[in-house]
Amino acid sequence: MRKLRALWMRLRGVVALGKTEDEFSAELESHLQMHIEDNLRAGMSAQQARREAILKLGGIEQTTQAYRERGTLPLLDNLLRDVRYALRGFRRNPVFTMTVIATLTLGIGATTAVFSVVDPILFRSLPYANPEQLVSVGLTAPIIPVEFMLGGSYYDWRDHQHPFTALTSETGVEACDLTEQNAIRLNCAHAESSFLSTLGIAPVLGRSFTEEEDRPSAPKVALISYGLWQRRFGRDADVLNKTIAIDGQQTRIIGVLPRSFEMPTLEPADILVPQALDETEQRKADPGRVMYAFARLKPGLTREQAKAELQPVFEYSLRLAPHAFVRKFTSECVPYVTVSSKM
Amino acid sequence: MGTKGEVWQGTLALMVLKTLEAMGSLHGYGVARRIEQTSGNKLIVQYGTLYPALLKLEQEGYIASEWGVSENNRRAKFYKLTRAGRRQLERETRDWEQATAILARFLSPAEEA
Repeated sequence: MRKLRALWMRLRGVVALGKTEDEFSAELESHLQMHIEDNLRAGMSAQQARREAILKLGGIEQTTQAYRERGTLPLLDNLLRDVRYALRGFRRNPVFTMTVIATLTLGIGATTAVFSVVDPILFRSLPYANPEQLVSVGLTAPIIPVEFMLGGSYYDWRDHQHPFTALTSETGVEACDLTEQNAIRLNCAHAESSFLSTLGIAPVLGRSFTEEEDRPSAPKVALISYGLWQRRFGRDADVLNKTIAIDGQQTRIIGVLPRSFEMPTLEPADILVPQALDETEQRKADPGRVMYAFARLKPGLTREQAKAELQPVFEYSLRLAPHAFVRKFTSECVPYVTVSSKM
Repeated sequence: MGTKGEVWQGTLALMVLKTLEAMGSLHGYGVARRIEQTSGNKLIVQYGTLYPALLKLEQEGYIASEWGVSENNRRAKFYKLTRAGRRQLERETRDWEQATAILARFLSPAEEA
């Protein structure tokens, strides 16, 4: 019960802060106006004054994104974990869960912040092929500001969806240890076998893992980041098929990620391993593993069209969702990459 | 003009706290300008990085914000130090002084050989 209380306290904190994006736009706007006025006083032309102010800010879109990340991401991990508990504990304690959901709806409303990339170096294009076709897709609830998927729904979506040429998933980045001589702590990203191909990323060396290698009992394989390849293996091409011990498990290196590789969440990742979920079990699971899904829109399809086409699979998820959740779920399909170059 | 530096990682929060201590209540733009001034214009604050830092400090309870009217009659959001923020500023100042003292010892010519 204490855990649930802690969740409530934290969420109330979020509500109390009442940081809406509208408010932040107003704050930025006032910042810009003050800066522009100063610039005008310093003798700049109106156009110059505005341009300099925006430049100095680092771009409005980027700043908003950075702000949004700060507002949601630190909470996200814990939030998802708590939601997982909530979903799991639902049958055990339905009244409480219902209360939380109802209360939260009042507090946070329909915040659907997108899970988008803050480009660490402004105006650099992102390392994915045809980024405009990439979307993050999933369910959102009042208490979860980003799209998420559940193992119990994901595979059905993947089987029956129409708007995408590819749908893929990842289950997050976790700390892992390279347990051998000069042991180091690293970050291991867990993804489905179709992950790299869907994002349009090709390893600089070797290959991505196959569907067979993405099964729970398969021998362990991994791709390593360019950075790790450089630091640990001196960029030696012989690194392929080398065996390393990750958390005590013998793992074969099958590929090296490009230097520009980044996880969609921008979490640092030194190693990419198969998420190795038991698909049969996940299909039956309720709610199943929490995951993030990314997809590539069919050429020419808009997000709105995609959303409409996703309605049947979305309804499938609704049938699975705990009763109290049902009205609150909406399907989301948002542009994954939101780098703007407007100045 | 000498070379201008970016704000070092981790020091922006301290500068914000210190600025708010000195100025009382101030809006984001003012904080940014003040930091640049105080540094003798040696530091460049990418203003965009300031707002996530302000939000983080507010989430941590070190500063509080309120909408008000600026010196030029413009609506702006003003930030001020909280009691917890004051304590945090003392802590961080101590840590920072300690760190620079240690570094200074490394950099100064060896006195005892």
